[in-house]
This record gives sequence, structure tokens and C-alpha cells, in this order.
Amino acid sequence: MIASMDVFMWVSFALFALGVAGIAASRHIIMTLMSAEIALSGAVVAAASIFRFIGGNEILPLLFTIWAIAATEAVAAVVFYRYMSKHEADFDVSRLSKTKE
Amino acid sequence: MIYEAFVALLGLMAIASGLAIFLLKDVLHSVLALVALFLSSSALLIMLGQPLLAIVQLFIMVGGISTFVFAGVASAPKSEFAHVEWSTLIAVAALLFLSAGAALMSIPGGNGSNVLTRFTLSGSFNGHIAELYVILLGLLGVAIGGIALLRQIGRKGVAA
Repeated sequence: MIASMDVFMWVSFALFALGVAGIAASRHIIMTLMSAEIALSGAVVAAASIFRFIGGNEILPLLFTIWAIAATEAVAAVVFYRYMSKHEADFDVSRLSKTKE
Repeated sequence: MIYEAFVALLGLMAIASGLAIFLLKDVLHSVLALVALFLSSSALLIMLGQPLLAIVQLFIMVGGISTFVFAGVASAPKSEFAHVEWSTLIAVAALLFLSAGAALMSIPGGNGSNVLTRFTLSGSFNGHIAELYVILLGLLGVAIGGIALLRQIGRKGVAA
């Protein structure tokens, strides 16, 4: 027995809204990354529930694309974070100034 | 009924984990909350009857991404500023959730359905597998390049 689609869609909407809001409101660079991961998790749940309840067999390419995007931006963000911490840069994105020469 | 209640409980756990990411002051603790979020979404995939996707989600998101981010921020100092602007977070999240979710779920589609249940997939991904593989290979290249850059930074630093 599977629960109805509505519950999964509301959960995915909530996660996606929380993720996008986190990207808009975050001041720490790692918080921005994790907000994007929240949004992508919501997208995974939404995609899986749509394919489960409506139909279609091609879910794996879509989900692997989403997972690849999440993994790549996690790598890129951690690389930037390590670079910034090595150069003692401020992680508060609201204080970012012009790039120095 | 009990299945819907369990799905709702898992959903609440996922949302609570997402909120905990912003509530916790230490970045390392926030990463642990992110791991809890991935575990909850993996459990939701099991409730959707997709155990393979749940296992792949565990491998990739928890075993791969979370471990990498955890190792990357393990030496993070305690930040002296608030991680998030709460007024912006609440306003944007409420606006998105109420407008997008309520609008999509409430548009009538006839016979008691809504716009989401009326949605049908006319095409298929089979004709676009090649493009997807190109995209994935490009993303893999970005990931490998990022790891190589990280190793270089760790070894001898980058000239300012």
C-alpha cells in the first residue's frame, strides 16, 4: 500500500521552498551550499513521486542528473571554502567587496 | 491511514532537519543535520516503493557528498555572525510554499484531480540519453578538477 501523492508533493514543496529561501537568506557560504542541497532533495522526492504515481520509466537519468549536480556543487563550494579559509577571507557573503587585483 | 501518517512523520523529520541546518550555530552540526535530511528523504523514497533509489541516495548523498562536506568543513572555526537572516528566510519560504504549492494543488483538473495528476509525460528520456551522458561527463570533469584543485591548495597553496 502506498500513501497518496499529495503528502509527498507537499513535503517536496516544503523542502524546495526552504532550500530556495535559504539560498536567498544565507550569509555563510556553506549555508548557501546546504540550502541548495535541501532544494535538490525536494526535487528528488517530487520527481520520484511524480514518476511513481503518474507514470514513466525514465526516472533514473533525471535523478542521476540531479545527484550529479548536487555532488558537483558540493565539491566546488568546499574547494572555495578551503581556499577562502587558507587566505583568511570572511565567510560572511554580505561583506564581500570588489575582487582585489 | 497508518502509511500516510508514517509518510507525514518522515516528511516532518525532513523539514525539521532542514530547519535545524539554519538553527544550529556550528557549521559542523549543520552538516550533521544535512545528513539527517538525506536519511529522511531516502526513507521517503522507500515509502514510494523505490528501494533502489533509496540506496543510491544513501550512497551518493550520505556516503559521498555529506562525507566530503564534513571533511571539508571539519576545521571550520566558529563563525561570529548569524548564518541566516530569519526574516528573509521565513518570508521567501512562506511565499514559495503557499503560492506555488497551493496554486498547483488547487487548480481543478476535472473528476476530482488537480493539475499535477493531469500531467502526462508524452516524451521519454530514451531519445536524449546521449545528451544526458555528455552533461554527466562534464559535471564529472568539474568534480575531478575541483578535487585536484583542493589537493593543490593543501599541498603548496595558491599564489595570491
